[in-house]
Parts: sequence; structure tokens; C-alpha cells
Amino acid sequence: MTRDVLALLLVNGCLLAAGAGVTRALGAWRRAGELIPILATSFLVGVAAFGVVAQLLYVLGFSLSVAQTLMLCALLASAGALRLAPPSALGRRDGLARLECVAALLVAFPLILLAVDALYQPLSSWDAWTQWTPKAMALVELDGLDTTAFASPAYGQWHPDYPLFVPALEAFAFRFGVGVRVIHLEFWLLLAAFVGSLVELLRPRVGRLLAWSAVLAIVWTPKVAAETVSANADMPLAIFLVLTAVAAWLWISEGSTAALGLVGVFGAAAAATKLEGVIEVAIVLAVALGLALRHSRRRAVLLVGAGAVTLVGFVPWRLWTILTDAPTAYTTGSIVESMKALEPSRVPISSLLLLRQLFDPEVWLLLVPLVLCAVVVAGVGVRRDRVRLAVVASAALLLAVGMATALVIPPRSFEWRREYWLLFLPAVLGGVVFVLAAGRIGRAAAFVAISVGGMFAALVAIYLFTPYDFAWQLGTSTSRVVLPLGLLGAAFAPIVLSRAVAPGSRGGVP
Amino acid sequence: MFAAPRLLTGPESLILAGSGAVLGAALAAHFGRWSSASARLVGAVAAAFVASTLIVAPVTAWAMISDIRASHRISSRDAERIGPEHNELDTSVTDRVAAIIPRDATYAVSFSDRIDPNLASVFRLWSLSALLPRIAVTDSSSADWIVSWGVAPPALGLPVTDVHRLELPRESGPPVYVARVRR
Repeated sequence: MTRDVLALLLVNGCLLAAGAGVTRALGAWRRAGELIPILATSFLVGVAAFGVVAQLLYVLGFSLSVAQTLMLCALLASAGALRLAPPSALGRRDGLARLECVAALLVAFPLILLAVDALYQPLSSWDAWTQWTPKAMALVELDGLDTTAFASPAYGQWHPDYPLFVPALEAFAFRFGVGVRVIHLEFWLLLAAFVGSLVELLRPRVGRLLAWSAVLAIVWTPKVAAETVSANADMPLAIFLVLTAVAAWLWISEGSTAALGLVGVFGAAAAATKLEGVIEVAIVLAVALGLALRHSRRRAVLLVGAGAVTLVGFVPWRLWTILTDAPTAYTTGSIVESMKALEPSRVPISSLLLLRQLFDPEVWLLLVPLVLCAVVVAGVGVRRDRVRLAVVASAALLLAVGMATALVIPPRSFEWRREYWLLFLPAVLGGVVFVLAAGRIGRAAAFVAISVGGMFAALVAIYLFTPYDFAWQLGTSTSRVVLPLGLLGAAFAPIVLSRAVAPGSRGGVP
Repeated sequence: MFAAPRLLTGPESLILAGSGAVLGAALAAHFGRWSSASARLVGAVAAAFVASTLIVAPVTAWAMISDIRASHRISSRDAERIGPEHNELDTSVTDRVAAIIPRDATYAVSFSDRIDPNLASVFRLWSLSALLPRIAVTDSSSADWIVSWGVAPPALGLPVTDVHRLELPRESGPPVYVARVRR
């Protein structure tokens, strides 16, 4: 096991070097000392860039042998010499206050426990052992993207149309001799870096209290721990999606060119991780674009450019699946068939089950209700009475319905019951009014509310048109697909709260 | 696999986390030194975030420790196979299949109607990775080898040779046959 861990650390050292090169090229740091405040972000940039480029190289026929992966990391690391963008520091180097050291310890404690847990974790999650890890093993055993396997109907249960980001990342580790069991630690590293990255990006902007409180809440949420050690693609998707949104926010509010670069890198990674990642990135960037247009036409245009970069994570892969005739679930034919045999009852059933998962206190504790509270607190400061009333009333309604759904509806309730109207209609009313009202509070609240609302609607649409068995897909996925929604809300709560104190500044909160 | 702390039910988690949130918010609002009323409100929500999770933290930590204690007893070999094994598949049979079929060969899998469809699906899924780098094909006639569970290869209507019969423990079902397709 020690050898496996050391090999995994070597792999991640290469990814950190790659990420440091990319962030330097983006202007996020120049001197070595400036890298420290964005070390975790740089690591995730390295993972994101590697995964996206690796998928592209697999499509082009590369085997990504040990030599090729090292060369790829070296090339990404050497990109730091290019200096593509002007200097635009993302983090700030200042020491931790005494109370922050306590907070850091409280964050480190569950992470250490989870690291040990990840080391001994068996490969038990269904998607991990039936799809993601076998694909990574196949990339190694077959020395690349062998169409006789990856595009063959015999491998249809591997979902050949699902993108390759996670298998490519795992294959990198397998090439270096890391075993299947220790691969769980890679997902832990992503979580630890995500937590670090949120502190790096939020603390200088929203203050110490708000940044650490959000990070503490995230890291102690049972759902986050469970999804991290499952070795599924949902946690990486959530991480890249949230960081895409945070980076887009930094670009809109600060005009940081480094942040604009991060939008492209993290957005491409999210699109290359799961099929719904493409839709969710599109929603987040569309909301960001709407906000950027209100601010500056130049920022909006450049954001569109970053959005175009994110397509690198999706288009080449999609072309490969079309050209090789790989089995795909979401064909035009299957969607047309789903539309012909449309079952409208799927909308309320999937909506309520998604809501149930999102508000489930057993796994999420009070993370989502407190995000609602953050938006309400921001809304209380609004001068317009109607907006204030709408935010408070709709949040209260949403909270009541969400909690009732979580406590009343069984997790495997796939059949419609008439009494569910009593939950569904208020949920729709509360949700729509909340999103509309939050859109009038301020840019941060608008960003998070419209993004999360849009992603929720997109997930419902996916369940409406799914070619898979409806009950099976609901039962196996609703608990996982809400992860980006919950984490996006939690990551943006400190931004929303900081704007509530004094718009445009972080005054008043330590 | 680590799951949410099953030590608490949903309502119990709600009550505990809710109490923590209310208490944290009240203490922060009362004892905190805030520059304005809005800062006090914001500070209270931040404290609620922290308190609602930290009050459940011992339970969450215990869930992780329990999971570590349970999973560290599992051997590395079993840890890699726990997925199919938990779905009632005896994975040693695919090891025996792998010992027969050459690494550069292709194979097709077929099942008797007597095999539970879910178990057949698990077998098929596990073989896709366990038999790598051997490549699975859907058309039996184009495969180099046939792996059939519960059906003797001659009954499949293909010319076969080198037939192996792999007996399974009685509770695991009928034997698995491995045979080379004669060209």
C-alpha cells in the first residue's frame, strides 16, 4: 500500500507542476512566493487541464503511456514560460489569524479521517466498478482508446458515450502502478484541493469568517464525504462546476484575466467529466453571461470566448462517438421516441425526489436551508418591499416544502400519488418566485439562484426524456446528481452574505 | 462503503443540526461584536453554518471511523471484487475463465434462461474488466472463444473444441463452459 500511495503522490506531483505552469501562463502568479496562495487551485487546474487534454489525445490515437503522460505534464508545466495573460493575482498571501488556525484544524480533522477511509475503501459503488474504473483499466490494458472495446456494442453497459475525464485520470495512476483500492485517495485529493481552493479564492474577497464557515460546513457534510470515497464522477463534476462558477463570478466582478482562464479550464473539465456536465456548464455560463452583459460588453464577449474553450472538453469526444458509431443512450431517435411517449407525470415525480435528496437532513444536514437563509439575509437589505417580501415568503415556502418532502416521501417513491400535488405545486410556486426575487437582490444572489434553479430544471428535463427505465434511473442517480447544486449554493453563500453587509465590499464582517 | 451517519435518522439529524444552528446564530448575534445590524445578521448565519455541522460532527466522525474499522479488514483482493461479490457473483469463476482464454483472443458470453437476468448482467459486467485485455464481442460466431453459463457450447450451434466445464458451488448455479470456436 505504501508503494501505491507514493506512486499516487508522484502522479499528483506531476499534476501540480502542470497546473502551476497553466496558472502562471494565465497570469495568476509570477514569482514562486505568489504560487503558495493559489497552490490548491493550481493543483486542480493541473488535474483539469490534464484530464481534458488526455481525453483529446486518446481520441487522436495516443496511448498515454508513462512517457507520454510525463511529457504531457512537462508540456503543461512549461506553459508557465509563455505568460499568455497579464499579471492578475488570484490569491493573497497573509498569515492565518489564531481563530483561523482553529478553523483550519476543524477542517483538517474530517479530511484526515476521510483520507484513511479512502485508503481502505473497497470498490463498491455500482458506477465505479461497472463503468469508471473498468474504463480506466481498459485504457491501460488496451494501450489507449481501442475502438474494438470502447465503441463496441458488447461494451454498451460501460456507457461508451460518457466522457473520459475520470477514466483518464485513473489510468494515469494505474500506469504508475497504483492499485484499484488506493485510487479512492485520488478523489480525496480532489476534495482536499477543492476545500483549499475555496479558501484561497473566497477568503481575500469575503473575509475570514464567511470563507471558513462555508468551508467548514462543506467538509463536515456527510454527503460530501460519502460521494468523495465512492470513486464516482459526481464529485469531480461538482468540484469543476463550482469552480467554473466561482471563476466566472471573479471575472464578472473583478475583471481578473486569470479567473477568465480558469473558466475555460474548469468548464472544459466539467464538460469532459459527465454528460450532464455539458448542460450544467452551459447554464452556469449563460447566467454569468447575462450578468456580465449588465456590467460590461467586453467582459461578456471574453466570457463567450472562455465558454468556447470549454467545448474542448466535449466536442472532440462527441465527434469520436459519432465517427466510431459507439453505442449511445441519448440518440436523436431515442429522444424523439421519448417525446412521442411523453409521460408528464415524470416531471412532478422527479422534481419531488430531487428536492427530497437536496433537503435530506440525514446526508446534507442544514446546508441547503442555510443557503436559502443567506439569500434571505441578502434580501432583507433590499429597499423594495415587494422583493423583500417575495424573497422571504418564497424561501419559507421552499424550505417548508423541501423539509416536508425529505421527511415524508420515501426515497424510492417512483409512482405518482394524488396527495403529492400538495407538495409539488407549492414547490413550483416557491421555486419560481424565489429565483425571480433573488434575481432582483443583487448579482451574487441572482447568479446562484438562477444557476441552481436552471440546473434543477435541466435535471428534471433529463428525467423526462431519459431513454433508460425511469424508476431505475431515478433510484440510482437522484442522490448523486444534486451534489453540484448543493455545493454551488454552499460555495456562493459567503459571497451572497458578504454583499449583504455592504454591496461591493466585505466591510463589517471579519 | 462510507454512507451518511446512519446512527441518526433524518428527523434526528434535523433536530440536532437545527438546534445547533439556532444556538450558534443566537450566541453569535448576542456575543459577537458587529459593526452594524446587517453584519450581525450575516454573522449569525455564518455561525449557524458552522454550528449546525459541528454539533453533528462527532456522529459524522464516528461514521467515518466505523467505516475505516469495517473496510480495513477487507483484503485488497476482496476490495477490488466487492461490487460483483455483493451482487451474488462468485468472481473466482472469471479467474478460471481468464486462465483458459489467451490474452489476445476475443470472446462472447451467453447464458442459460435458468440464470437470473440480474446475475447474468453482473457476470457480463465483471467479465468486461476481469478478462481484459481479452475483447468481448456480441456475435458468438465471430468470437475466438465462447463463455456460456448453464448452456453446453454444442447446444449453441457453433463448432467448438477444447471445451472446459467449470463447476461452481451448488448455490452459485449451473457450471460455466469455456470453449474455443473452431475455424
